[in-house]
Amino acid sequence: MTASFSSRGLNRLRPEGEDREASSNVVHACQVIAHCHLALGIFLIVLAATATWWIFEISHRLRIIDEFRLIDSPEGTAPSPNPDIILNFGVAVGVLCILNAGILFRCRNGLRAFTRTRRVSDLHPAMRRLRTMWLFFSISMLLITTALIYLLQKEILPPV
Amino acid sequence: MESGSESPFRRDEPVFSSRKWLLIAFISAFAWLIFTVYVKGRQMTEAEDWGMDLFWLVLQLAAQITVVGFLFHALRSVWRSGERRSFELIGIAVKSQRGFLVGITILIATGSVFFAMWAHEYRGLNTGLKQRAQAYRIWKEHTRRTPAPPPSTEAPPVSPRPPSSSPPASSLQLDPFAPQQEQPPSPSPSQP
Repeated sequence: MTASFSSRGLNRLRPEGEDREASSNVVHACQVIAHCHLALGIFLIVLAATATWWIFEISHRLRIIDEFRLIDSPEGTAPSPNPDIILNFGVAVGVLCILNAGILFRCRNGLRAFTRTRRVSDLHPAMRRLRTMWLFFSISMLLITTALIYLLQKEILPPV
Repeated sequence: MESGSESPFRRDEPVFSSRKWLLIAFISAFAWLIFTVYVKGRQMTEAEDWGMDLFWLVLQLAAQITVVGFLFHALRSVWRSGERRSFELIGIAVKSQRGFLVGITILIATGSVFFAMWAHEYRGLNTGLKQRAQAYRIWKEHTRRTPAPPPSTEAPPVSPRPPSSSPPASSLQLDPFAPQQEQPPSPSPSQP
């Protein structure tokens, strides 16, 4: 009983009726999108592993090739920074993928909470999480695209 | 659009608007698409036989154009949803993201398979290359330690064969993407 008279509980039961049920098309859309978020999150984790592994192998290869160059060049020649740049890029890609996967799972939980209760009061946090998901996803996409264009343009990363 | 069970709209009705974030994602995806065409086009002009390259380019472009198209569709729906407060528009905006999410999931899944294949292939190549680098280093250290023979006053006998020396690292074809250095022309053993 005390819980129902708490300030949070009273706020939820405003006269405007945030406790009312949302329309079925929103509920259905959220149900559909929640499954997509789960699938995308799982594959982003897989991508974090495979892409980082691939980039690590490229960095390793460039380091070995640089070793050949250093053997032939006179002493005191500095090693190339390219393997480290690519390694850092790989780590950044892995971290961004994991971060986005976590946000997608969080967003999916919000959407599922809304579809379970069907209340408008639960739609607000779900939409807020969806906005956050898009925020992180778009910024990650922008960063990765910019870095890819830079690395391919400078021929640091071999074209696939 | 505004008619239905939710009319008239209340002020507390939620609005789903991620216009600028979707716009940023769309611009990034479009830039990625343009750059793919540029890189693949450059690769194809450098290659002699580009039949397979054309196939991969078409496949990659088809997938990317589909994803960018879905993203544009989602962006348009979200733009409409941000202008008015309506459950119906929110439903459309949320549902329109499905195409993009499915498309990018398929693209990421395919990319993951390819990345794993390439990484596995690179791993084998790197192991062989590392062994060659170690052998080359040992050989180089050995030649450095061994003192050079004293220069004789007599002229060395002219041999039709060129002096045997190790090829430079650049000519070992270590990396297909490494820039080729021009080698000075050496006499062929078959020439008299």
